[in-house]
Amino acid sequence: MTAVETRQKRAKKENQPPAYDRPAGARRGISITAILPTTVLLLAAVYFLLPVVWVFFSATKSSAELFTTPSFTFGTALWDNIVELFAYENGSFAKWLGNSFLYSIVGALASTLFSAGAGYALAMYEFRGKRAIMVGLLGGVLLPTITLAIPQYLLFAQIGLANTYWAVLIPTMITPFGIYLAYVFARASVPVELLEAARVDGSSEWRTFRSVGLPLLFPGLVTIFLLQFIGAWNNFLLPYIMLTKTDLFPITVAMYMMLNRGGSEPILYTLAIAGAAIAIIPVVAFVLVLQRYWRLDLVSGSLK
Amino acid sequence: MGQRRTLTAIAGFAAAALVLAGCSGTPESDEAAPQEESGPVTLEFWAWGSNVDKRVAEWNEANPDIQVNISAPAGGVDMPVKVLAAVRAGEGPDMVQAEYTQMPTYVSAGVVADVESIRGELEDAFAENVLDTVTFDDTIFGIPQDLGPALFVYRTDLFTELGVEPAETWDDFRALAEQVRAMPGDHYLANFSSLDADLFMGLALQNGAQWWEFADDEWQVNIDDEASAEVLEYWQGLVEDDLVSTYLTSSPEYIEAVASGKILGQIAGAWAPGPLLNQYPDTVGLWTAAQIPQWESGELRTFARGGSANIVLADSEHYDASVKFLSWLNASDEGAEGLVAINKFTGAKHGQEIDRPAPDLIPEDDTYWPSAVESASGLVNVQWGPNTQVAFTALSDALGAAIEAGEWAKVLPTVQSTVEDDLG
Amino acid sequence: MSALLQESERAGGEATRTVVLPPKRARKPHLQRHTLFAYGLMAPALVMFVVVFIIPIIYSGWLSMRGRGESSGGAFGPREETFVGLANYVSVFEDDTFWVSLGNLGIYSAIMVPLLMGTSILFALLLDLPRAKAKSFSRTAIFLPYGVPSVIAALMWGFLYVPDISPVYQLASGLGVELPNLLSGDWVYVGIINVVLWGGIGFNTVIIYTALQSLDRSQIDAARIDGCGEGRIAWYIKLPHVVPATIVTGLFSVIGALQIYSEPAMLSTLTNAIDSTFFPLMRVYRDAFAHDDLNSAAAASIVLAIGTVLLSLLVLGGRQLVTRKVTR
Repeated sequence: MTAVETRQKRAKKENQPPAYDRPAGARRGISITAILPTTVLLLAAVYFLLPVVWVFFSATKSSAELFTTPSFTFGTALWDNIVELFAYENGSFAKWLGNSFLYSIVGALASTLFSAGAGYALAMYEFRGKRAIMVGLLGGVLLPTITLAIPQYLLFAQIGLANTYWAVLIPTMITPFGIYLAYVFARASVPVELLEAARVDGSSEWRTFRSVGLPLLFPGLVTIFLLQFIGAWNNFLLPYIMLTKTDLFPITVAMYMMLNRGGSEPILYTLAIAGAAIAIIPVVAFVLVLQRYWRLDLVSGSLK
Repeated sequence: MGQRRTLTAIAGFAAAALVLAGCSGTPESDEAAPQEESGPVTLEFWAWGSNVDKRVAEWNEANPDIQVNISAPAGGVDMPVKVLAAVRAGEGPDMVQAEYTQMPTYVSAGVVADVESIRGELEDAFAENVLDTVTFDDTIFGIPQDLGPALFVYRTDLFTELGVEPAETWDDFRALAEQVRAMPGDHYLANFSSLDADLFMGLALQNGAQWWEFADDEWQVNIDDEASAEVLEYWQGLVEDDLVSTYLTSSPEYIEAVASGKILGQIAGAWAPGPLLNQYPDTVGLWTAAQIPQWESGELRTFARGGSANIVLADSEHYDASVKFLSWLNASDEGAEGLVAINKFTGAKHGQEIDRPAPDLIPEDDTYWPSAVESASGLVNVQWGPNTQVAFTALSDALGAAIEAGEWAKVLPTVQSTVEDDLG
Repeated sequence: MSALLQESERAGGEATRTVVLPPKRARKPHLQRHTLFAYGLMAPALVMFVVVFIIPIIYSGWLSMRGRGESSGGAFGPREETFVGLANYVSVFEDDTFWVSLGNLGIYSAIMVPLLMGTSILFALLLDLPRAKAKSFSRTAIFLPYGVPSVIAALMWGFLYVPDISPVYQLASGLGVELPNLLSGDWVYVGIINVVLWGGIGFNTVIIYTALQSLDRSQIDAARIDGCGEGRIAWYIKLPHVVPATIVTGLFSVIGALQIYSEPAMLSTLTNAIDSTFFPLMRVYRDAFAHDDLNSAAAASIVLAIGTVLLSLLVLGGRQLVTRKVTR
């Protein structure tokens, strides 16, 4: 048990704001050695924020203003764009947003759950076929998943699954990378001695998993969930190939549709830009609010 | 005890997967059920054309037994891809909007049902050269909706300002382009985009090329021929001498150049006023159309840009209902009038003959629609190949490389060999 | 990821990690019960893996050996699908555009991956400097693009690349600098790489930054007391510490680079410099979609998948070499 406690303590300590930011001897105020790195970081921030700021300015512009007024000025059409966007294709935009949430939340939850089970089992137990499964997973991580999208579509179609929510959800629910992360995290944070102790106490394997394994895995599972959520939210090719019912589109496919219409139809840049602005709000908010809970270090396995 | 728990746990954990599998195993049964013609049916119609949904709504109101559900899972170029994939998957719709250039793709994929059942009606409603574009192996496969006879659509205000007139021949067109470049304001007479493969093919047709021929049970490909080479050389000259711009159609760069009046005109289909109004709402009243330049003055030779037909898919279980709806939408007098009301230049003769108000883009200009009708009368005959889409992709790539890296000499041979290889 | 392999190798011999330590006689039934439980835990993932990966891979292999045969008659008669063996593979290898696309991919990856890793390490080190200011703001800004879908990223940068309407170009020309057009000629690589870097640096930076956090701080303080500059500390202490993390993220970056599709596909509608076969996956999608030739697309994607796996194993081998060196 003590092993767990120390581990938990250490984990807690790591989550605290790093104390070495201001070593005892550091001078107050801005010195020459601080100016250069700070400048580089601020320039980087400007670079990374520029397109996002641009998209919010542009979302306020009418079709005419978009191409004729300077970039960082406000247009007059923000409200019109939003109204038009939500009225587009009989008011489908809200549905597309909802679909994106559905695919991302359900897909990421299921993927996290399945990854937790598989990762824990692989990390904690010895059994026949383990190596084969590991090699299979490795292959799964390396494979360009989108090359599988076409055969997946044809197969799903044959069992009547294409053009349903499942067509996008099922491939989203399984990610070898998520299993790999769960595996790495389980090895790093669930001590084997603990299982033995639990077993001596007469606890079943399931109960040990549920009441000891899962709580220890939790921070890692949050990370897996967030990564899967963002991956699913940003996914374009899979739903693009799987879906022909516009009602089921997530927002990325819908945006692509606005930008690639028929030859005699104008491209809906203003709508696409307003849509882009709205589509990045939830996921950016998500990233910002939850970034403190990330344990991205486990991606590189550097926890050990 | 432990073991029993373990098993329960496994069962519980695996249940999630089974639930998923269970939910998904059954296909939506009502779609697969054989159709009785008596009850009300719902037809799936994939079409991207703007405002056609208004016509569909009118139909639905008047025909409770045959309801039509219109949606656009893909636009223009991507539509055949979506349709073919869906048909293969047994998920196809009943009816599809098909650009004329896409018709051969559908027909040679074997997914289209013919509409010979209403041949008489179609022959009454459409001119012969229009019906030809949807006829393959002497069988009519589609019902034409709108046409895009080519016109030179240009800015009247800028032409007046510069004191120039539209060109009647291609020689004049070049001279005019030079004149425009020489004037202040960095204007271009027109733009030449590698994405507009259909435009290039049309220009070649106008000059007498015929890219595909079916003789003795075999396809002949004549893309790398003299007539096409002449057209290519002409545009190469314009591009290399910086007499036309080369932005990609619909790119922000292109739209900016048109919006700012840098580009004065374009060779567009008769549908042009609709998209122009949407994209450049500030230019109302500033456009008009002239006939496209000719190689020789005299006989008017034009081609179509875009325009589409509607087809019924072979897998549809509602063939009769679909044909009934589509012929009402496109071939009947009522349908043609309805299409005119939503700003289409109809394939049907009736829609071309009736008096119609000038387009919203140019409300004062009553020469526009007569010009379109005149252009439609000069449409040259076209033989599509079964792999027109392959040719267009290859042509766009090759023209892009020509504009970008000067590889003009490779354009026609590359496209020719790509198309031949694909025909196998 | 190599941890996966190493672990499975070690698993056989290393008894200490095995949970159960019963006498040999009792071992068998015990083990079976745990095996059952372990498989139960993995069952959902395994079932899904078979459905989503294994079966489609087999199906893809089957598709790749079929092709279009004779026309069923007439000028527009549909063509029957038949078994063609390895013909699709042969034509993939014989096709110039395939090799050109591979070459483009090589150029792209060779520039993109080192740049991505280099900038990520740089930003991580800067964020780790005690004296730098505005760190949490910059860190958030750097990470934020990770949440932006690549379709949207390419749309935004597409506008920012147009000299006549881009604030970047306007600013530069105001300063008397003429920027090259990133949508023309070979500059298009820069155009693509910029979009990818913009979206990817944040993720890698945060990983390397968090790896830095686990560094023993007393070592650094000692070095500082000894009069070591921050540059020397970064070079001799921090950099070696993040090498393993960098290699793993580098591997993911390589895999990501080989799968590039969305960004160039979106940008290709804006420039003549990106054709429909510019990168291998674009070529696959042209075959599948524009040419409606799933068979040839399947063959090409299998070739690519095998190539990716081989290359990754190569990188993994490299990683094991490097980590061994560093830990020694």
